[in-house]
Amino acid sequence: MQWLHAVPWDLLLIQTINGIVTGMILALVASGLTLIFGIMDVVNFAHGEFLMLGAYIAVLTIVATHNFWLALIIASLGTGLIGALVYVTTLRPLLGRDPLTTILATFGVSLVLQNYALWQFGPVARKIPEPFSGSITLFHLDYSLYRLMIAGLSAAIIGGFWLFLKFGTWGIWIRATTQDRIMAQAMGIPVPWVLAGVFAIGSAMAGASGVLFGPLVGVDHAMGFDWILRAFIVVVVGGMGSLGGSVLAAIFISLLEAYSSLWVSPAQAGIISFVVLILTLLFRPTGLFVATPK
Amino acid sequence: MRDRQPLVFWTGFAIIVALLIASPLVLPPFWARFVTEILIWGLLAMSSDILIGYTGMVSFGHSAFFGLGMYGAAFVLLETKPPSLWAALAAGLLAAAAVAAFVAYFSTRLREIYFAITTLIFSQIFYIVIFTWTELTGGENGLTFSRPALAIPGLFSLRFTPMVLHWFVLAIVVLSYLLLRRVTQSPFGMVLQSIRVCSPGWRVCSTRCRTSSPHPISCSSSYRARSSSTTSSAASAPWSGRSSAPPSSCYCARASRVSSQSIT
Repeated sequence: MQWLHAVPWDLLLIQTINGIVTGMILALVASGLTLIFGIMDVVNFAHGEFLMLGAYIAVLTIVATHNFWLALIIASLGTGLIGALVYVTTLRPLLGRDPLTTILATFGVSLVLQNYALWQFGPVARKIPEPFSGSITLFHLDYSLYRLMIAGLSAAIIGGFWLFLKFGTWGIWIRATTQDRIMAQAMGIPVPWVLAGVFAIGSAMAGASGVLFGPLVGVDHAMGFDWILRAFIVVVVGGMGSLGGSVLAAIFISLLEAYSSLWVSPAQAGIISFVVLILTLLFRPTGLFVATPK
Repeated sequence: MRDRQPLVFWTGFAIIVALLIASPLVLPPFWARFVTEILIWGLLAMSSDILIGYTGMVSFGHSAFFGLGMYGAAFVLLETKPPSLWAALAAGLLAAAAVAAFVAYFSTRLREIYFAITTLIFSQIFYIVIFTWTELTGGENGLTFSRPALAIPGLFSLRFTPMVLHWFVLAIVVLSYLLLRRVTQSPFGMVLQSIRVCSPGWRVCSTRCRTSSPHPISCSSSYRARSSSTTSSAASAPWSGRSSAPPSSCYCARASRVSSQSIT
């Protein structure tokens, strides 16, 4: 039983909670991404920039009103609106063409948005203050209450979205359009509006996660890039277009990174998730957390 | 009419090359330097055109090969005494080609968006490795070296003035252009284009060639063509990295981050 004492149990516990908290945010980012991919086969490289824009909108709103919750709502609505604009101006003309053209187009949008933010807000990271401080004691360790709140809120948003997909009229339209776009159109579903709506919802979710995560890291113009990369890993590992798979994969990847950063530096821990992705692509390209396709 | 087209092409080509040769003599120093940079980026663009334009495989990891070519060249310049330009060039090419072969082995099994994502991930892996392996790569500071002379032992030795650099870069760019033009017009180049135009059709064709293929999998020759395309296009990328070697510092290539810093 000697090895039991060698295991750093308290660190493992903290890292497990950390992993789940980061995983929930990642799931929020990735579910918007996977939704957009599932419904219109668009790989949205600009998704991380919506996250960044959401955080910046929140920074501006907080400066004006000093209210975090108002900032969260305004940032979500704002990024949703920007997302709809980007969709109508950039992606709608490209729908139905080679998916590679939409990749290049969204990559271009991401460069434009990123450099716009750099030009407008400068390279110095901004800070979103935490809406409340305080911590709870888990066993004998202090843990920030805000982090737990993020995880809960992300879970609530994803859960609410799932209910919306399941029971809402628009949700049913969205699922119908995902299954068969032409048939959905024949049944009288306003497909162009549904597509724009999905893009707006996905962007709004990215914006909300940017606001939620803003207090933990600084807000700067490059923050979207790290997230988009991990969100892609999650989306591929979870199975493209599958909402439940994305949530599971997000928690799986985050836990893996959290545990491995006990032994190597956090930057190198990122490599672990890259390796997971490459192995998944090689041996099970449909994703780890979905049923085997017939 | 058709007979005259090559003539028109080569005349235009000669005029452009002549203008580029003359440009550092007439332009003010800033703009002369600017033209040199344009040439270097043009070479990088040509190399990714092989991959994206001809073969239709969108790779977001191309800048990694650019950066690794520079690092390969920088290692040789720092380790050999006296530093040799040609050894550094060869090392840069080899480094990038070897890494590209490794990346291609995994990523060419995948298509379209999955290929794009995998190459992006690979370039991030190299970024992290180079960024954190400070003893070898200098981390964020990069590697600093002095520029070697442009020399053939026993024949001549020239110091790199901006003008010599410009002509050296121009020579490499023109040679690479002619080489790539030849490659794209060769049967191999046709294969690359056929992969873009009709990937499933190409796989059917390659099934027929199975007997000549050393791999039992029917798709393997398609993969092979794709991987060699990745490799060769990557091999030409560090040329551009290397021709900018006179810069005193070497930065890692992260997506767009290689930027002008590595050229100054």
